Amino acid sequence: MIDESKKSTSNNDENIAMSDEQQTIQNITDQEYKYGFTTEIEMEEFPLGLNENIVRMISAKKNEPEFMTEWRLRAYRHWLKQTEPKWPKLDYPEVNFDDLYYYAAPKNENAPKSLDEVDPELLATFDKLGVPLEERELLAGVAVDAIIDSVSVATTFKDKLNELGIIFCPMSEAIQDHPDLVKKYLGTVVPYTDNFYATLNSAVFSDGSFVYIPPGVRCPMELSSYFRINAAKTGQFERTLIIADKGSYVSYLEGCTAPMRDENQLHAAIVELIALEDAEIKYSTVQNWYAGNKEGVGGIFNFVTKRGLCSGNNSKISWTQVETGSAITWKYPSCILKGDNSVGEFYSVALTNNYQQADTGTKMIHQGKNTRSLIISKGISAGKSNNAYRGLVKVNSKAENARNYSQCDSLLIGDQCGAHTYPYLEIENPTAQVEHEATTSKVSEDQIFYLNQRGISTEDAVGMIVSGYAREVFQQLPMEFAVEAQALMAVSLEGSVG
Amino acid sequence: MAQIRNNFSEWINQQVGTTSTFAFSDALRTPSLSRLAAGVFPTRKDEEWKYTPLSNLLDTSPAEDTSAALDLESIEGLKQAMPDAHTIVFVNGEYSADYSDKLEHLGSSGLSISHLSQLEGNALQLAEDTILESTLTDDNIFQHIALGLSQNGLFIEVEKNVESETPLHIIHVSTAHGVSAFTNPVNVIRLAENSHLKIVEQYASIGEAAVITVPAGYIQLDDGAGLDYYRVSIENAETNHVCNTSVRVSGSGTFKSHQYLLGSKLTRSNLEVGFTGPGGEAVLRGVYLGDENQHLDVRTYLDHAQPHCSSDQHFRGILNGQARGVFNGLVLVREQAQKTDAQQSNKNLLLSRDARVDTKPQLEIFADDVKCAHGATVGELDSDALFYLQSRGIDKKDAALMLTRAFAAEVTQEIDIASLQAYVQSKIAASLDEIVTPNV
Repeated sequence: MIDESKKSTSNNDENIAMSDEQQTIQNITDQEYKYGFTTEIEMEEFPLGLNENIVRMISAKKNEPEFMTEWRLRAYRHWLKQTEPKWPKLDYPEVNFDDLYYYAAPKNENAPKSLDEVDPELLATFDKLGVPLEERELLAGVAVDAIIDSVSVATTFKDKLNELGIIFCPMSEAIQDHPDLVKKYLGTVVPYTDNFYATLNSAVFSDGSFVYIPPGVRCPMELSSYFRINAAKTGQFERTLIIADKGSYVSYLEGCTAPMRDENQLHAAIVELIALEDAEIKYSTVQNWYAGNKEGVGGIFNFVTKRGLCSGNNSKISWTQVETGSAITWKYPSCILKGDNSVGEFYSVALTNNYQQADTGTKMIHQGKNTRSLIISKGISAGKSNNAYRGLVKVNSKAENARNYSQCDSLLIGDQCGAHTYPYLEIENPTAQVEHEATTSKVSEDQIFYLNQRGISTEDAVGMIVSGYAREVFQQLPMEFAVEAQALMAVSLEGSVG
Repeated sequence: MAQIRNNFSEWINQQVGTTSTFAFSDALRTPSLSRLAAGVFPTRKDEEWKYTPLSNLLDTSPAEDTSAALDLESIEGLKQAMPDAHTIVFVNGEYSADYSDKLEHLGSSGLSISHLSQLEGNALQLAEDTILESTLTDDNIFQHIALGLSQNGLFIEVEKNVESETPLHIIHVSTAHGVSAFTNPVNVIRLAENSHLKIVEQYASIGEAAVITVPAGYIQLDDGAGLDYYRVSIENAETNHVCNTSVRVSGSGTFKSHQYLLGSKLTRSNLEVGFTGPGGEAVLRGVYLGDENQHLDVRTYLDHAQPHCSSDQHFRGILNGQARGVFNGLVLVREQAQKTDAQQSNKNLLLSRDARVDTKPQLEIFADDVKCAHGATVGELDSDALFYLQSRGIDKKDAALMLTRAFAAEVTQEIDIASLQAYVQSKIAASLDEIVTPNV
C-alpha cells in the first residue's frame, strides 16, 4: 500500500512531463472490458468437482450411446495420471479442479426449432454482443450455432445446409444422429491421451459444434459459432469437430465474448479438423474473453487444443486467429500435413494488455511429400502483459520437398511488457527448405511524429500503426470477422482512438 | 543396463571421495561436490537437453592409466595453426612443460599466466571471484564437475591498458589408447581495463580411445577490454565433449568468440555471456560440421541486463551421414536493457538423407526500445547455384564443394588471425572433401 501511494505521487510529477505517447499508452492500459454483463437465465448445475460419477452423469444427461460413455471414462482415468503442464511461460494460481462445476445448461432445454422458440433473454444477450441472429440470418447469410454455456440453443440455416447434405449441428446432436461419423473421427486428431487439458475435455466435454461437408460440396456460407461463458464457476469444455470430405470446402468462424467475473474461469476446448483429399478448411477465431481487470484479477484461463489433420493429398487447412482476450491464453492451433502436397497456414494476431499472458503459436508437422506451411504471427504486448510465440516446424524424414516460412514479429507498447519468441525447428529431411524470421520493435516516435505532422492525432496514429502491423493477418479473415476484429483492436486500443 | 548407464556418474562419485589435490579451495568446491553427490545428469526430458542424449557419455567409464607415447611430430602439427603464438600444451589434462613455451618471462609484458593449482591467498581468491561473478546459470552439472574435480588449469591475467600482441595458443591433446580417459581443464581469464588479448584453444586427440572432456572457461572483461576467443575442436570420433564458458562483460568491453566444432562423437558447447555495464558488445560465431553419427550441439545464452549493449550471433551447421546438429540460443533482454541490439542467426545445410537439425533460436524481451531479430534456415544445397556452376563446366562434385566451403567461409572469413583462418579452412575443406560426393 505504501508503495502504491508513493508511486502515485511520483506519477503526478511525471504526468506533467508525460509525452503524448506515454499518455496513449496510459489510456490503452486503462481500458476496461466493454462486454461485461451476465445474462440471468436459470442454470442447471451438477455438484462441484469431478469423479467417475460426474462423467457418467454428463454422458447420461446427454443420452449418449455406450461407446461415448466408455470413451469419456477412459479419458477421465487417463487424466488422473496426468499432471498440469508447467513449461509454458505463464504464471497463474493453481487451478483447483475439485472446485469447478463440470456441467451447466440453461434449464429451458426443449430444443428450439426456430428463433421464436429461443428464450428472448438469450436473444437479448446476443444483441448486446452485436450478434443479432435475425439480422445475421437475413443480411449476412451466416448460420450461427449459438452456444450459451454448454448446450446449443439456436441453430439457423439448417434447412438450407441440409439440402446440400452439410451437417452443421451441436456435437450432442451429432452423437445422437450421426454416431457413425462421430465414432469414426472423434479423437483421431486430438486423442484423449493428448495432453492434460485435452484429456480433461474428452472426459467432460459438454457440447460444441459438429460439421460434416460431403464430397465435392463447397459450403455456400460461412459457418459460425458464438461461444459464451455464462454461469459463474463453470468450466467450459467445448468440443468442435469439422470434417471436410473429398474435394469440399468450408470456412468456419468462431468468436466469443464473456461477461465480467472476478473469479477465474477455466476453459479447455478442443477443435479437431479433418481435411480429406482435395478438401480445404478455413478456421477463423476472434477471441475476446474477459481478460481480468487492470490489476489482473479475474479473467478467463483459456487452455485450448486445436489441431487439424490434412489427411488427404492436396488438402489444405488454414488457421486465422485474433486473440485479444483471456487472462491466460495457451493455444497452439496446429496442422499435421499427412497428405502429399497438403498445405498448412497459420495467421495470428495476439494482443495482450494489463496483466494478460499469452503463450500461443502453432505446430506444423510435415509428413507428406511436397507439403508447405506458412506461419505469420504478430504479437502485440502492452501494459504489464507477456506475449510469447511458441511454435514447432517439424519435417519428418519422409517428407520430401517440404517448405516452410515463418515470420513472428513482436510489437511492444510501453516498457513494462514482455515479448518472447520460442521457435523450434526439427528438420530430418535434406530436401526441406525451412526459414524462420522474427523481429521485435516498438511503435517508434518517428512513425508517430510523421503521422502527427500529417494532422493525425497520436491516438489515431497508434491505432493506425498497429492495424497496419497486423494487416497481413486481418486480410485472411472473412469479411464479417475482419470488421469485428478491426473493431476489437480499436476497442483494445481505445485510449488512442479517443 | 541400468548399471552400465551409471558408469560415468559412479566414476564421478569415486572422484569426489579421492584425496587428490584440486585446483580450487574447499569453499568453492563444497557446493559443487554436493551437487555431484546428488549426481543427477540431465535427460532428454530437460528442455535444455531435449535434443542431446547423454547415454553414450554416461556409458563411458574413464580409467586412470591413459598414458601413451606422444610424438613431437603430432604436437608440431597442432602448433601449425598458430606458429607465432605463445604455446601452452596440456597432454591428457596435464600441463606439459616439455612442449609448452616458457611462460615466466611474460610477466613483464603485462600478461601473466599461472597454474590454478599453484595459486594461493589473494590470487586464488581473485580467480575464484572471477568464477563466481561470471557464472550466470548453475543448473548445469558439468560446471560442477569442472569446479569440484578440476586439478589444474590456467589463470590468465592481462594488466590495464596492455595490448597483448602475441596470441596465446592453448593445446589440449589426448593420447588415450585402449582405455577411456577423462579431462577437465579450467581456464580463468581476467582482462583489466582497456587491455586486449587473443586466445586460441585447440582440442585434439592423437589416441583413438574414448575421452570425456569437460572443460570450463570463466572470463571477465573490464571496461574497454577486448578478448578474441577461438576454440577449434577436432577430437576423435569416440570423444564426448561438454564445455561451459561463462563470460562477464563489464562496461564497454568486447567479447568475440569463434567456435569450430569439427570432431568428436558428441560435443555440447554452452556459452553464456552477461553484460554488467552499458555499452558491452558480444560477437559469437561458429561452425559445426558433422558426419556419420556425430552429434554437435551449440547452446548460447545472452543476458542483456544493461542498456546499450549489443550482441551478434551467427552459427552455421553442415551435416552429413546420420549426424545431428543442434542450435539452442536464447537472448534475454531485461527490463532495464533499453537500446539493446541483439541479432541471432543460425543457418544449416543438410547434405544427406539421414542428417538432422534441430534449431531453437529464442528471444525473451522485456524492454521496448530494442532492436532484436533472429533468423534460422535449414535446407540443402541450392540446385540453381549448382546448375549454374555446372553450366560453366565445373563438375558436380566440385561445384558442391565450392558451395559448401563458401557456406562455411561466411563465418571463417571473420577469423582475423591469418594462420588460424588458413588452418580452420583447410580442416573444413579436408572434411568436406570426404563428405561431399558426386551425387549430392
